[in-house]
Amino acid sequence: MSEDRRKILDMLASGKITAGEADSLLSALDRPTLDQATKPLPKFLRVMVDASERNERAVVNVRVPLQLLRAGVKLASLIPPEAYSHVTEAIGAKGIKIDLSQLNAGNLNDLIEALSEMTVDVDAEGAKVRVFCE
Amino acid sequence: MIPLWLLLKIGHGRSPRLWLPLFLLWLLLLPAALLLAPLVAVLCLILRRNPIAIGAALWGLLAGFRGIHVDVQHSHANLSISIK
Repeated sequence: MSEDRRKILDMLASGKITAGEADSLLSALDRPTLDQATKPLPKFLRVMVDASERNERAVVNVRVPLQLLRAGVKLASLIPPEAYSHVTEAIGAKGIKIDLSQLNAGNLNDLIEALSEMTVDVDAEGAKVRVFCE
Repeated sequence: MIPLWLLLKIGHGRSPRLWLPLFLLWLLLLPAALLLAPLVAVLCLILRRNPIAIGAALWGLLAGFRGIHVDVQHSHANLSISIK
């Protein structure tokens, strides 16, 4: 429970506010802020690698449009359901439990939205890798 | 929109950037696509898939390549590939 939510419930418990006021305050907390509501979806996946070995430096910068991911999922949605079960089994055999039939255009936007928060930073000796969406 | 140009730059500093016209490749592939279209249509009928949906998905996949950018900088050589 968040601090704000707890404060509202405390105020309700102590009788400082009515149940109706508490309800409207809690609803206001649940509403996304203007910043969250207008936040655009990321368009690119970026992979940056900065590696150095024996005084030689290599910098790799790759930018892949997330549109490619969307198109891939759309194409995958046309795969017959029987094939999906084979693919899911094959992936499961590798220890990855993913049901690809659950991945559709609706879920994909949620996935991309979640990816916008994701940043992978690897800082190893002689190499730095950064993966993020922008 | 499908990618129309591939920009390629190899080498350091002021080495020229090559603009390779991908639209010419699509034009070259168009007759092959037209020849294969009936075969694909028959396959779609057999597999009970919507050929228009498949065509749209493939077009979307092709369009998704637009915006890909790969840049490699090394002390010996630089490589930059961009699809526009």
